[in-house]
Amino acid sequence: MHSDLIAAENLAYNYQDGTRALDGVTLSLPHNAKAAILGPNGAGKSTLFLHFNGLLRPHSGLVYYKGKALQYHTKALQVLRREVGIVFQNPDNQLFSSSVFQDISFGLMNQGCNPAEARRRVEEVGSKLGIEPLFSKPTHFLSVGQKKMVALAGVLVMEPELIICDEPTAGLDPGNAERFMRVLDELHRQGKAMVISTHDVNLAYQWADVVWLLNKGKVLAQGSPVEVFSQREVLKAARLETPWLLETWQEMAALGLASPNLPPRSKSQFRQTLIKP
Amino acid sequence: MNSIDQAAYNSPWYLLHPAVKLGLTLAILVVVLALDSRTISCLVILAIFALLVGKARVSWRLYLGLMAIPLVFLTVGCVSVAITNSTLSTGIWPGVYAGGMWWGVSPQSLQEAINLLLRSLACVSAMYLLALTTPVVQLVYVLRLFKLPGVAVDLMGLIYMNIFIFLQTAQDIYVAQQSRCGYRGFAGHLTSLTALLSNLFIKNLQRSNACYDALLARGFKGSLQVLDEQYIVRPLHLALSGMFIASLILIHSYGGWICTLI
Repeated sequence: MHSDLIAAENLAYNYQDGTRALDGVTLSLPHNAKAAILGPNGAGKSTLFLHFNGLLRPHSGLVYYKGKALQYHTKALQVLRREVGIVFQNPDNQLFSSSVFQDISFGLMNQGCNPAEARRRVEEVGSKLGIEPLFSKPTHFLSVGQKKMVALAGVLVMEPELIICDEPTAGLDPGNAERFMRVLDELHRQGKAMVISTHDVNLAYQWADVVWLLNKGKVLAQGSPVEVFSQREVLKAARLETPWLLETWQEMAALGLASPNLPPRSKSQFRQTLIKP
Repeated sequence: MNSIDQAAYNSPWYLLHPAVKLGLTLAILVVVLALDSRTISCLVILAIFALLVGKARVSWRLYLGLMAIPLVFLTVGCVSVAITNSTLSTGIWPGVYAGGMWWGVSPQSLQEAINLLLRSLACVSAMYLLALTTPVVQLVYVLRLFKLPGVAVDLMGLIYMNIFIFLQTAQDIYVAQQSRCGYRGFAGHLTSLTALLSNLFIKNLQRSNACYDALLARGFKGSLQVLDEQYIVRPLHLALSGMFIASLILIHSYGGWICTLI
């Protein structure tokens, strides 16, 4: 656990009204890994995220970042929040400025970055995400997809090690959702670790290295996508379905139509497992 | 409001330094108010119309529409200035006798009303010159340049940004209420409106909490540190602005012949 990038140990957190949001959550994310967290509404996904960059402090248990338990004094939190960036689910809650340019620069300026360097990095991230044309547009006239990209840019400029996206594809049309996930993939290739929350089992199965299944503040399962999604009982408890790719492959393998050795993670891998009659 | 905002963001003068745009506007206001001349007011109205429509690519339809709004209020206001009373019936038209006085319009009061109308319209034009070329963020930036208290400036920016979300939320709630038969009858109107207002309050409270969390997540330290776009200052613009103001003053002082035209 101490060799992992971020880890939670026996995390418990209650809301003010006494609701148990997290109840003994223990999980960990290796360096450079992509994790997907699944679970019904109210399972504690967003609450867990807020613990990862110290916005919430657990009532019991510990969060470790790079093997060290989090400290909650201002200076340590500033450092942590630079390294662990959160893209919130609703970009309207994240974008506070009516200027796209200003909003993206916010995190950098908080770090005390000098203006010339900040300008360079804002422009760099802008061109990387293809949102430079939006710089002179007001945030309140952007589409949801554009807002989401700007929110991501505001986190990326800080050059975090870990990017957390709360439901990155929620509210996006399929085209924009795919584009957003492609950007996340690209960032992962450049060495960033990533955690997303989603309700889409197919997305989680194909995209993630690690899957965490949460329900009522408890971890139901964690492991590789194949491990987690093969546990039918657990999926049922979390009211989730088996990813179509895995389910189809399992049934075809049982009928002897597909090779039973390695579960496919993508359509092209699936094609390779097929046994031609 | 949306159309003004959109025009400002799409303006070819978007990147010109907001302090210059604000300075020109304030100078025009001072000249129009101080000189109190019909000629100058007319010149300013026409010049700004030409400038915005000809140079700043504001559509003339939008501009005339925007001017029509204050025109209605100003006309109503000026009518009350034009109406005067007197104990004598001479020089008052149409001269209605009521309450021991003659009521109507006199040449002087008419002059006064027209002067006032033109002066107000000239001032409104000057304000549109600013509003249609300068987004509010840029004005906030100028205020920060002038060392206004940071908290006040930050709040202005936040409030402005939130107006749009606030309106959208109110609109969404209103539509949802109507689709479930809200606002039926007088009592229905009251209950629906109360529900809308209290809901709006709660939603905004939740939103502000979420916003605060998101700010903290990006290292918020008590003030909104941001980087502004690089604005352009061209000596030519400063010179032209200065010349415009100077020529207004010169025309007022020496151009009596133009005044006879108007």
